[in-house]
Amino acid sequence: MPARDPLRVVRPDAGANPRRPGRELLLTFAFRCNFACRFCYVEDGLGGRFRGVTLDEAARLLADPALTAGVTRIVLSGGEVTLDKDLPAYVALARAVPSVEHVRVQTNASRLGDAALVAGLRAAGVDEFFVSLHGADAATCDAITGVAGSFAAIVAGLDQLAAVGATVVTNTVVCAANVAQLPAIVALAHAKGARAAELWGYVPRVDAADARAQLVRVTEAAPHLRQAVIDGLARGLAMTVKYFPRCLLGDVAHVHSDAQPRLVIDDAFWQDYPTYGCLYEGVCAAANVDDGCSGLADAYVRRFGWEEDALAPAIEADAAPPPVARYHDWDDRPPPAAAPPPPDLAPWQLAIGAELAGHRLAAVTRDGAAVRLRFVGAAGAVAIDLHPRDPTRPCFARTASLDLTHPPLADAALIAARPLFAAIAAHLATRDDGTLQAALAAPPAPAQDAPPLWPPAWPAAADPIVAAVLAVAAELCSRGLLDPAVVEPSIALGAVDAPRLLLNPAVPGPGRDRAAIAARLLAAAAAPPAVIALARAWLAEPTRGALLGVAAAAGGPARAKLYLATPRAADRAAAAALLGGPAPAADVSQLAVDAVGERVVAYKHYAPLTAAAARATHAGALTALVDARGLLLGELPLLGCTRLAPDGAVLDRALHVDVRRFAQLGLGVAWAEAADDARAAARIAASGRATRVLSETLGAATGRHVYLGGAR
Amino acid sequence: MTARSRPGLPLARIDAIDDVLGRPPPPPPAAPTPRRAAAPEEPADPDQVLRDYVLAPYPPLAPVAGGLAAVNLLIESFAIAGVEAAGAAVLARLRAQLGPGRVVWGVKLNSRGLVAEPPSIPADPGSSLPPRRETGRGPALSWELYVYDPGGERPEARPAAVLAALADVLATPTLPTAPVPHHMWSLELDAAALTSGAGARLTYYTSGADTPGASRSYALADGQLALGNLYTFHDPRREPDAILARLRASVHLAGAPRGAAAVIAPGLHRCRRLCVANKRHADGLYFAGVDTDRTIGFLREHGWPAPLVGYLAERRGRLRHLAWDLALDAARGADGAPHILRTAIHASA
Repeated sequence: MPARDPLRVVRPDAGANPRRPGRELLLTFAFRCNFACRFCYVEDGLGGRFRGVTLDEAARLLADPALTAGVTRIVLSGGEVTLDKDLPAYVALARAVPSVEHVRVQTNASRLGDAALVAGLRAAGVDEFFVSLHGADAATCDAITGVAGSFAAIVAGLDQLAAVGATVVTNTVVCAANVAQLPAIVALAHAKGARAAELWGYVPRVDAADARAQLVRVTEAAPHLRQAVIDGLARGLAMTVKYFPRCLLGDVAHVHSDAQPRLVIDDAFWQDYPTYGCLYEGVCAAANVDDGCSGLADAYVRRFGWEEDALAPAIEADAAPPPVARYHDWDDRPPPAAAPPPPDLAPWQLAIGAELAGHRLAAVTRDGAAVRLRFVGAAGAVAIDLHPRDPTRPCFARTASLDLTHPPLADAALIAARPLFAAIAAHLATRDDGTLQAALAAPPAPAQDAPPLWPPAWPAAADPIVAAVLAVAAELCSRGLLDPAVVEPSIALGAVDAPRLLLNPAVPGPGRDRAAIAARLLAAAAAPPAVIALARAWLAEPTRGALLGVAAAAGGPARAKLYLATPRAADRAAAAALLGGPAPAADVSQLAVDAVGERVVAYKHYAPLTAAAARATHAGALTALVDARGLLLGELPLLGCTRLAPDGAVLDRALHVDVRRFAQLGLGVAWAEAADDARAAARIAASGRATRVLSETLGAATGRHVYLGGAR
Repeated sequence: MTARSRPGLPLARIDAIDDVLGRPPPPPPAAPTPRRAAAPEEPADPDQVLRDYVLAPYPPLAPVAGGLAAVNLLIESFAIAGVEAAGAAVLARLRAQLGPGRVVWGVKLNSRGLVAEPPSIPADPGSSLPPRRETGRGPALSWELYVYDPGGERPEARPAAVLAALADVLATPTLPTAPVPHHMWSLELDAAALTSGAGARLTYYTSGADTPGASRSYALADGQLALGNLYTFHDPRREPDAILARLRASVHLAGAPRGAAAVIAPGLHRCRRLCVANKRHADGLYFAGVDTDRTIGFLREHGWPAPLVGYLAERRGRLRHLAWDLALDAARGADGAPHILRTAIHASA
């Protein structure tokens, strides 16, 4: 079976929940409960089997800035925390954290019909109550909780909280028992004064085999869930959906968020925590964001399948390739470019936190060429996109230089957002003198110090010509005309003090005159004018490539080398015509010229080699090293180099082995050690660069080289 | 306790809360139960490149020092099947012939009680091969040893050379007179082949250079080559649609009530490379790069012998650097759904 590049996979660590400003921390204690909900995911911890955070431990934890820095909400959960007499003390500890704005209690509210208890908790500092509401009527609710009368107790608690004006967020676990009631549950939550409602897909932690048949087909649940969200938004509730495939939420997908607080809980909780996934997670834009879609629980997949016909990945146009994972560290790709900075809102007289028509500006991001303003109101989040004015673009408002659009919204959300649309349009229109569009453009990236082209741990390149080439290369890099990664140092084993470089001036890019770049570098290398002219002529053709080499020699001037890429017959013909010298064979992929002063001293013909051919004609110490390290020649790109005198006589042959896939094996050092060049081995080890290519000129005492990667 | 922020993800510990809270460390695990194999366990070699079932290199998933080599599972499987000496002898000859890390091995479990799979070549009156029949004797282990020879660079890896090296430890088929072009070839063995002189079956595999992304196998019998299997290789992260298309087009794998989940279990969808194979009597999937913990779950789920699963489970800490390659073959049952006939685990030695 053919070898393939290894797969790379990533799941980014989630941090803050972007739907709630700031960060959240959840502490657990009081692992006991007066209900017995069928889907409880700490059921196995109740009865004190999970160890909760004691008061003393809570005090120590909450005093640790490493844990609490930036935390704006602390959530207290168990079990049923209202059963713990020390709950007010925990609340006080949480409230004492300087950055905390909210202290939330997760509760079944069954004890909150007690006005004194509620008053005490609020006095201690609880300002939010996260109430479990899993049914819209007693029959459903009591069946879920396993406790007769639970619904009445919950309602009594909600009524008490409403009476005192407490902030209530309801939480409903979507399961087989209540899926058809979701809209009614949300309606009940609203009627009882909740300000927000969260609908969580059932997390099958305890009952991993779903023996209790709590899981419900997502395709069955989706219509009920969508309707519940739409109804909730229409009623002015802030809605959130978790642990449910985002792609099934349709036009209310914006309420989806799988983010969770940082959770301090007994480690036993995590031992059986279900894994989530989706067959499309690698290509779905919704799966690879901070609060993104987790997909389906393993237990769901085992019972119902992957739902591959129902789920659909969110594919963004021009999306970047999926991120790669640390499962595989052999990633020699350059790091992704930093995200462009957010736009400056000052010209628009806007700022984060600004209020317009009952909506608060929560975030501003770039979305391609547009700028997205994300407002949050009572009905939820509303996005407004600003574009450069284009009379052909459909939009809801147009100012002197801007178009305003919004993503599709459900009817109720659209109605709720209309005042905002009118307000933002008026706001910008009165301030747009035709110049506001300029604020859409991303500012140029700030100039960054280019990485050093010469390994910092090495002695400065002693040869003045190599130093001159490095200086020119650095200048070209600073202007964005050359990539640092294509300036590659190399070492001649046995002559480690003679600096050498390999450069690629031919990488296309904006503003790059490749021929001129090559000419400058060759001029710095004191290349003969004929070689400089040759490079100009060669790279004038935009499809051609070339490499430049500069090699200092002991006791002599540094030599410039020009390597012409000739992958096609036409290239070979053109190169032969330009260079003269022996005609290249049909398999020659690169032609090179060695020049000393004005005199061409040798021609080099490079051609790919098969492993068998390499063993037959280029066997030597390098092939022995490859064998000794347990590698297969057949899996390494091989290049044979035949050096020819101007009259065509073969001077020598060399083997080049591309070992970049095995950078972690330290083959550069190993090759140096095989050549008994400890200084070179040390310098390679200190370079901080990956080894790219090893070469050996056959039959020559000298002629072993190590080519290292460029700076990144 | 651990502070974590996202359920369902393989997160590392963010905070050493136990250290903050001053709790005692957990007790050390109990000593592992004895192995069946008599030979000493082979330690992992930190200097040896780890390779998967197509000899593609992969970095260790955990530090190698102190770990165990994957080949210990193969040896243990020989021992459980009662053929340790014979199996180890064949393996030793192969390793000596090919060098370290060049032998890919697979252990297979026939789930339906078949001693051997249905023949890939239908028995005909002129064939000297005995037809293989269902014996109903219960799950049986078998093995396949793969010799990789990309580019034909290694004379010592050619079938003639290898079979010559195995001549006194294994009965092997007669090779075709003219060399057969191949990328890899394999020997299929069962207990009978190892102990009673019943012949091992040789199969050639092409590289798929003519059909990008695909590979084929050809089984050798009586000097004749018969097309065996077709393999396609996919990146499960980036090619879910291509994989699903292959499954939907399979007469064996399509139509399961749970769809792809019948053959792609949770977690295996995150393998490094997924191969879909069309075989004569079944279709199969190969999951490359599965960690030890999930591998143990796979073997347990598919009814592998408890001693073998226990061997892995009790040593999982010393096997965490390894990524295993798992496989299953499934055939359409009377109910139209795929039924898993055989599962396998592969690694290199």
